[in-house]
Amino acid sequence: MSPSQTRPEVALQLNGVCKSYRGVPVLEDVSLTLDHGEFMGLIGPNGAGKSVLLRTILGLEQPNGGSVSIYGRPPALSHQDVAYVPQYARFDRDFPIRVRDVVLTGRLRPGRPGYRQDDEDRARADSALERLNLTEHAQRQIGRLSGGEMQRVLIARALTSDARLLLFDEPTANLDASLVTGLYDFLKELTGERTVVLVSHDIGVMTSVVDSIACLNRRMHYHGDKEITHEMIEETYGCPVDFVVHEHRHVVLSPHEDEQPS
Amino acid sequence: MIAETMALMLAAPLQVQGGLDEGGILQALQYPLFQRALLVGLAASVACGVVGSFVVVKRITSLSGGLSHAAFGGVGLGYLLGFPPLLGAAGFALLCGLVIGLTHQRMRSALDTLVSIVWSAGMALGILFIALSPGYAPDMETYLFGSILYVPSDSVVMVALLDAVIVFLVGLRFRELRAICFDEEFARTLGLPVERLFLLLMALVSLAVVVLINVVGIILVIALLTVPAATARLWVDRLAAMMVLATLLSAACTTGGLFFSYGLSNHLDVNIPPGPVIILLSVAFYAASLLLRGRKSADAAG
Repeated sequence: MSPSQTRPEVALQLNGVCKSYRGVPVLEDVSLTLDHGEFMGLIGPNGAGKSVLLRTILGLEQPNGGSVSIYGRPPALSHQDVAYVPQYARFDRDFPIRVRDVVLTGRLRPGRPGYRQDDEDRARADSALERLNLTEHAQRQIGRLSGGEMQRVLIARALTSDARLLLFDEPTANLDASLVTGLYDFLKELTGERTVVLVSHDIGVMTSVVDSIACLNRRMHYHGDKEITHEMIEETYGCPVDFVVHEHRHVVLSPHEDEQPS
Repeated sequence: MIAETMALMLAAPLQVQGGLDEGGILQALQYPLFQRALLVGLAASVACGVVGSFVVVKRITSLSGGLSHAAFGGVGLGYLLGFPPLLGAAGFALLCGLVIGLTHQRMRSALDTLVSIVWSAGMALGILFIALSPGYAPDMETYLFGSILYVPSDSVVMVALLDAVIVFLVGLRFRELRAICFDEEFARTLGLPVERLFLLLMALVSLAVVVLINVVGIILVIALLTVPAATARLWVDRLAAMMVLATLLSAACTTGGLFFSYGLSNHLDVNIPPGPVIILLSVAFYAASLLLRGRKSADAAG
């Protein structure tokens, strides 16, 4: 029992989280501790359970076993502390709503009717818009934005809430390489102020911005730093792989004779 | 037969007073029946604009058709058990709306399948109940095809009351309802009670269906919950503005339809019910708006 130095608050704690669908395990014994203000990258092959993990943290899925705690509370009680930025806009781009009103939806919360939105809500939305360089688009209909602008709206909507934990689900998947760098710089800025979990395929670029990297393929491989060992990759992708990183893309080669895991 | 009824309704006061041909169609405003029809049309426009906008943006237009047809089961039950058929329609529409909403949310059943089932089951029940009813159901067709010229005064009160309920509920939960229509998944991550809000939306559609059955009848309700709102969408890019414009458009169509129908009957002795005229007018507005605005918004989006 040595007197430890003051440790930052624990933002996210996963303890042996298991999840299966119709008997097929998707997550097995996933454990993780993330401190407040940390920036963690999460990688893993398609179907590794990354989205399920995010949905479990958000309280949209119930784990079959284990526990999730966000700043000390279960997901059902911490909607206000987690915000989610989806991979792409799943909504109807033709919807009659303007950018600022989309961002303002981030301020809605249960138990406080929307008609009670006040100046503080509007001020928060406006500052999020400004921070993401969207002020000039505030009164535009949501569909009249480019892909990059749309992605920034999704981020602004999440930032507008009071959430201390932000989950980004492959935010760069639909962006040009030039926009990706800007986005990562912005996420880096958030570090310290908020806790960020970033799901991405972009191992190369990601290692330069995150504090730690976790690899997920049903099971979590996490050592609390951003060293990706060959073993982690092998365990995660289920086969020995070489990955070649050039610019912002990586190519995964699989020189093995085993069958590819589906 | 509907046309005959209407001709009778209109012709009766005409013959009594006589010599009204000189007066033009504004003369119609003298008749209590016409006044009442106008009042119901204008009041129903509010339900049509407010709920129709949600129906269009949430893409549940077939649901509004399903609920109005399901309401026929309630009409039949009213005949069978001897209570006001419109009350039965309201009960059936609400019940079916909630059943569809719950089944969709809890069992993840596809909405279009549920709608088709409720649509046909409601009609089948209605026909069955009416067949079992003693005697003949005299004004059954007024529920199917609408008879705005023949609305009893208690229907006027009911339409006004339902309007008030709809506007009050939407005013209370506008931003939440808009949020679940726009991005249901994000609304869930905020912890909003998505299921309850969806059920509220179902209830609102059911109430609007009952209001509009008075104007255009069960078969044509789907048009009034779709066309004015879809037309409004072509001109404005905010949901609240869409509701206001759709209400105005619907008011213009119901008023226009009533006067057109009256004018034809009065001047050319051609008797057509106003319901279909109202619908066709709204479709004409939509087509014109599409020609004027459709291209433009397509360019802007591209």
